[in-house]
Amino acid sequence: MMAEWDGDHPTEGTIHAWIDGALDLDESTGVETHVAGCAECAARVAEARGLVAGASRIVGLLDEMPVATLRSEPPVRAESMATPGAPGSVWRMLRVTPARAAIAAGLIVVVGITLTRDRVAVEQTPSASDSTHAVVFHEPVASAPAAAPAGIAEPARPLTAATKAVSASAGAAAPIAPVPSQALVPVGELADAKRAATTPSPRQDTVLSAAIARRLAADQPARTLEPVQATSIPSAPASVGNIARMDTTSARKVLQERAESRLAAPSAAAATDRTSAKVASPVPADVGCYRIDALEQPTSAWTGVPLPIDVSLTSTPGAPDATGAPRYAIVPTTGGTQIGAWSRASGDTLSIVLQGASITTSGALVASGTAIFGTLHAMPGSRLPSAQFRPAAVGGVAMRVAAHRITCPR
Amino acid sequence: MVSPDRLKALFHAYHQPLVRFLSRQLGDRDQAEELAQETFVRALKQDVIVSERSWLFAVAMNLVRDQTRKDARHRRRLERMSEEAKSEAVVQPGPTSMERNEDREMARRAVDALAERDRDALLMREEGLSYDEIAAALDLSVGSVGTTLSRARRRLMEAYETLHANEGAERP
Repeated sequence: MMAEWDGDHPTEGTIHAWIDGALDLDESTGVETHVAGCAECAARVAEARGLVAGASRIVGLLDEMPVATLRSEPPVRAESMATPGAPGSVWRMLRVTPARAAIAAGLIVVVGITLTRDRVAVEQTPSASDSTHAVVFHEPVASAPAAAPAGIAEPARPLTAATKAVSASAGAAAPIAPVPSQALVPVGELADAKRAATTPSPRQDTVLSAAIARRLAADQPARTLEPVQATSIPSAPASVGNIARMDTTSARKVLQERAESRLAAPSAAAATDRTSAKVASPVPADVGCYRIDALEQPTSAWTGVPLPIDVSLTSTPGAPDATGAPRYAIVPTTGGTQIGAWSRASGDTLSIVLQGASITTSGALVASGTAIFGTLHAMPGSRLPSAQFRPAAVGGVAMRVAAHRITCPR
Repeated sequence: MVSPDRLKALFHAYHQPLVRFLSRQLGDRDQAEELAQETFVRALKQDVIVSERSWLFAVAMNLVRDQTRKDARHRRRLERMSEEAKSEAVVQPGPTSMERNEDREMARRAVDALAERDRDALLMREEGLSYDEIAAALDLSVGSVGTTLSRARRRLMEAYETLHANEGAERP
């Protein structure tokens, strides 16, 4: 673009363009040189940076939950960032640059998902990265997503043990469980869960018009997952809040009943089949301890659109963990940068992307359309489901995420 | 006619940014999703799209214009209703979410106070559009994008800070 100058000094518009990385090399060098030698303009640059960051923050407030908008950085040359007298704002620093994203993604090694039936699988020997940087989600539940509130309210016996073990493996000093359940479930989540209870029906139409969906589906390979019928979406969220406020005994009783009611159908073998073959089934499945290898892009069972996650599971189990459960791993497909790349492209934080990946893959593991559906619908403009930003319309997901969250080693 | 493959790629790349852009414009997620869909439907009918991202955002922006004109009255009424509902709510949100809601409300008002073009440019920039793309979408010269953005940012900050100051003064 043509940089505009007001006499010897760049105009405010030019300064913004410079900060935005919109000037070509010559212009950028011109501004840079001038600013380096002009205290007045250095101050203007500092102010402009404040405006850029502040406006970005205000715009971010428009979203349902204020989050940092991680817009991909324009290609600003490194030296032009180091402007004398123009310290980058904290907000700017918080942005994920490609380098930071790559580093962060590199640290994220494994999203372990605990999938167990009648047994809690615990990773006894987490790798170094597990205990330090990796996001390791354990879902110490007795069955499918709907039983996950066991982790929310008051873990049943084996869950307590699992949580402790996880906590220990993460190097935490004190055992986690039991913890006052109220403290574990942020108010917002309860509110969301309540809202979820009132709006259980899928809203496929809001994602993509049926017409487009058909077009897109035309060249789509056979589905690996079928959507869960609305009626089979766990209706439990209605009582999440209640459970959180119950005393231990009654909470456990409710959860036990719920677990039993949901454990009726699947056998362990069936679960294995579903896991390895990713056969469609809306039946709540058993959950074991898996690591998930990310090799293919999951496709939405609803629209045929590839889910915005570039990780998924392989059917090849890794070495069994200490309890004998097979383990799979989520591995970014290209050297750890894919998640970061997607984060930048989507404007979501790495954490959110990772949590979305976790939900997606755990949903795929249990062949539960609920989680897949949840992922797809967790895009309130910008976000994937996560502990904070999960879809209001899907019950099971809420509890899965809550369980993930509270059992995730700090 | 845009090919299904191309449309799929477009959807994949731009659906989220568009919905966010539209949500921020409209303050209504459902409407934003509808308009995003409509944008892609229009893309589907288009023979050739030269600058895809500009095109999509420009279409979305025009849809917002149509929509806001159409809905101006309707929206004011709904806002009144939602205000009433809020005051009748039994459950009071905690202080954190109250403050957050206030911040959001002030942000909404500050953004709404911007001139249309300034707002469009800023929200497009927040979605990562380049100056060239913004210029194409808004039919501006590239050279004036910086000026437009700097004005938008300054005014937004001023409006927001004024609202904040007034809010603080009103509090007991």
